[in-house]
Amino acid sequence: MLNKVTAPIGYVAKIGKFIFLTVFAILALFPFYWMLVNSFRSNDQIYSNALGFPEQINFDNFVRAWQVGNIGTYFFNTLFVSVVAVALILVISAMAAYVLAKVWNSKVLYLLFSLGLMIPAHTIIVPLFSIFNKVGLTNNFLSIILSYLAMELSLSIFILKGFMVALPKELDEAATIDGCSRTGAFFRVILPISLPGLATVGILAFLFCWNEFLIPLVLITKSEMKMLSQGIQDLNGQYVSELGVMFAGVVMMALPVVVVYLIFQEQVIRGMVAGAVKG
Amino acid sequence: MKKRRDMAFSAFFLAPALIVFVLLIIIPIVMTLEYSLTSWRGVGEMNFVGLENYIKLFQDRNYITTVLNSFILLIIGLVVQLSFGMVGAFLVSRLNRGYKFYRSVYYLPSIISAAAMALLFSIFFNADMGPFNEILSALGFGDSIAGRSWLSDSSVVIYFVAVPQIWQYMGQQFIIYLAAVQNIPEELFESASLDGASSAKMFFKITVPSLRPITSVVVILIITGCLKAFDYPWIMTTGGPGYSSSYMAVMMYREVFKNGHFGYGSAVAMSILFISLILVVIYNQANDSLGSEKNQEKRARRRRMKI
Repeated sequence: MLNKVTAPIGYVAKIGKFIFLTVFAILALFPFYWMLVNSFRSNDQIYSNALGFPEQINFDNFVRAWQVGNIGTYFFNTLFVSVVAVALILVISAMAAYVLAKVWNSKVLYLLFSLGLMIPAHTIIVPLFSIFNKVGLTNNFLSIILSYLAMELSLSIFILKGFMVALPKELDEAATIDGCSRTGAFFRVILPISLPGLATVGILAFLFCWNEFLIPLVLITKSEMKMLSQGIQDLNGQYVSELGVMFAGVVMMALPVVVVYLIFQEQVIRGMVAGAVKG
Repeated sequence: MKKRRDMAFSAFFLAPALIVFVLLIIIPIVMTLEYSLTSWRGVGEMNFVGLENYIKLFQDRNYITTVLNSFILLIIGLVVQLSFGMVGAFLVSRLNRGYKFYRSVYYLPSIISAAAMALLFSIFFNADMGPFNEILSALGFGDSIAGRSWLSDSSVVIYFVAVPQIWQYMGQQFIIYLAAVQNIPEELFESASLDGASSAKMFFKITVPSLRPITSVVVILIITGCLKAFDYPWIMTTGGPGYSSSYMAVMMYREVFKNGHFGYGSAVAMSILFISLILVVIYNQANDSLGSEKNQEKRARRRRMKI
């Protein structure tokens, strides 16, 4: 009896749930579909119908964006800066996290570093500009690499400390007894065993470096040294009448990140949640 | 002996992080505060003017506009991201199949560059060829609506800049809620469904109250995220027409790097930090007084949550 009454409501709820989930999935995916399709279409085709399908697969937009729009140069600039910054972030934050987790659990330092989680880039960007300008490092990759390092340090130390605290104490004790110095134990035992934690931190840092816009916008003005996010902005100014080129530029900027995400999804999501909840 | 060696080791291993952190985070914050008390224009003497810049902010109509714009973004963000985050996490966590699919899909936009997404949306809303107007006219709207150039209309442009950003980061709050929903004991739902409770009832009676501690984290994330917003308006409209689509961070950038007002722009930057702090404190106070009786229990639950 009871079941007969609730059954239709159950169906309505199921259909409602399905519609909700599907509508939001389409909303999330539509821009990706749209940019990909239009990156293969000619300008005339896009102008006549911006929601149409490509008539043939045409790579002209990619070639033009890569060469004329300078996306090729920006792509390798961004890749270089991101890789160097991520490497520095990993080494420096792992060293600090190890001390805080295993050697000297200083509450004061932990609080100091956690302060960085609350500082957005724009509250420090003006002094960063004048400092780097004074020492002649504007229009130099070093200035953005150091700024990225500073911005990502807090979150990375947080996540890595959480990871290293959970490592068994016997591990580095055994290593020190075997004649390793603490430094040796760190590089030979702790770092390799922390690889999952390092992967999470490294991927989060890479996503940040790849996508950051304000910091390079302020510190880099020379056109051949710009980052992809700036290149994307320039496409908007210079190629207003070449929509296909703009779509191709967006695709090339998004593609590496999507690939990284598809491979390392679990780490990305775990790191994001850990950082957010602890911060 | 061993202690001393540990201290030397700690100092050596902490030094790089500390140096970078102090030189490039702590000192710059103090410098921003210092700049904000001067009339510095980037070159020449720094003249101390006290709180003059801050007083000027309150009389600056452009600044008031940017504060209101930041709040519009914040309100849309709170409404959309909190409700989607909770409902989405509730529904997805109870799926038998497709859990991973929806999780990946909803989070996907959050990892893409905001600059790239903003460029995409500026084409989408373009008056001449943008699909948005095409869709409107296909829905039967006349040229007075479907022919409007939304991004140069100062009365509505802020919504066209704000909504895409809220859309892009919806998945972020969803993912945090999803992790938290899974820590709600399954027996609660089982006994509720034995009692014949509907999904809606379970959502409001079990999920929403259990998520309260994590909601406070999410709200703070939305506040800080929305108040520092910059990329979308700068790419889509450069904050215009006038200041109609500028947020506070856009005004800071324009004042400092376009007009050369280092002092005044730094005051804008500091005001973002102050407003964020004030909002977070107000929110925490309200949250605490609302749940003061159950606080003890909630804190215990939060501690137990392993994410």
